[in-house]
Amino acid sequence: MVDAGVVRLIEIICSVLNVSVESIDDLSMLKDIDTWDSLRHMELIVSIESEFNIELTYEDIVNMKSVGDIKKTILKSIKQDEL
Amino acid sequence: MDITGKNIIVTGGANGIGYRLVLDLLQEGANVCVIDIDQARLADLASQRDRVITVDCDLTHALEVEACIESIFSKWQCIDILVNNAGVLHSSPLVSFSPDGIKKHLLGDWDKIISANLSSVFYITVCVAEKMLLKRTRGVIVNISSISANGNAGQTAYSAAKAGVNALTATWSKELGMFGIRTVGISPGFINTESTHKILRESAIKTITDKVPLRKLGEVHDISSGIISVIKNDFINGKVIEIDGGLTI
Repeated sequence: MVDAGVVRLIEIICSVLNVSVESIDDLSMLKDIDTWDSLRHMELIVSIESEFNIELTYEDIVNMKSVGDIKKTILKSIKQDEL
Repeated sequence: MDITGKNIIVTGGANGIGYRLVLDLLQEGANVCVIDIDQARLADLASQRDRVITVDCDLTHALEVEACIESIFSKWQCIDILVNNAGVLHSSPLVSFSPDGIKKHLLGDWDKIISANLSSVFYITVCVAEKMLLKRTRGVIVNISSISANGNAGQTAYSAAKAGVNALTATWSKELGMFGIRTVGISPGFINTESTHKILRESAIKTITDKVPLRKLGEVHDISSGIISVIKNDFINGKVIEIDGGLTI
């Protein structure tokens, strides 16, 4: 469930930011990705919330600075839902 | 969207179209916050109606607007709908001849009209949209425009401001639509209000009504019911609806 979730998350990030899976890793900072901007960030949030049926908090959103940060946040939410 | 129980802000709701809208929204079961600078009318409204909050706020001062929205939000904890109705009608051409010679549109008038009709809409909506996003409210923003947005001779600043409002409607519908927030414009034609009769001579009103296919001025209820319709219809977004009796066809 968690692994599939991570795969799907990476797909969403790549799709919204229009980048290849190979071009990003956990350390990739969103602001360093050429196609990232504040509007894409909003699209990313909406896409993630819709896919995982979760609602990110304000703190979650502002702390999502890298791909790894997004992964951690979403994994936390998925695990909370599973409990 | 069902209006019953919704928290709705109406700017310029103490008079004219805005006032009628406030009454109709209350009739529909909404909670209404009226923002205006007409203190006497605000006091009347607050004393006569339940489910009404009134706030005296100058919408052309960004910091005042921000404090106003914070205060409303702390009371309601959720803002569902914003109707940007407040505005100032103004008529002045870019350049005109007068018995005293050639006259240029005053820069001060330009600044004042852009501020009252365009900047004010930005100031309040940026604060309300932030609250809607944070609370994930699938809200509605209604911008009251004017048929002058198409370019009305003699209304340089007012036409530009209202065209700007239409651009904001389109832009916000795209930016906020992904969060389920709709933005819609309503563009009234000539309406039978006190201000219309104050600004236009009866002969001018006759000339206008002759050009309206329905041969009459609109009534405030025509605009109010149009606003309520676009709030209720969950699929209208980004459009400016002209309610003008067919004048602009």
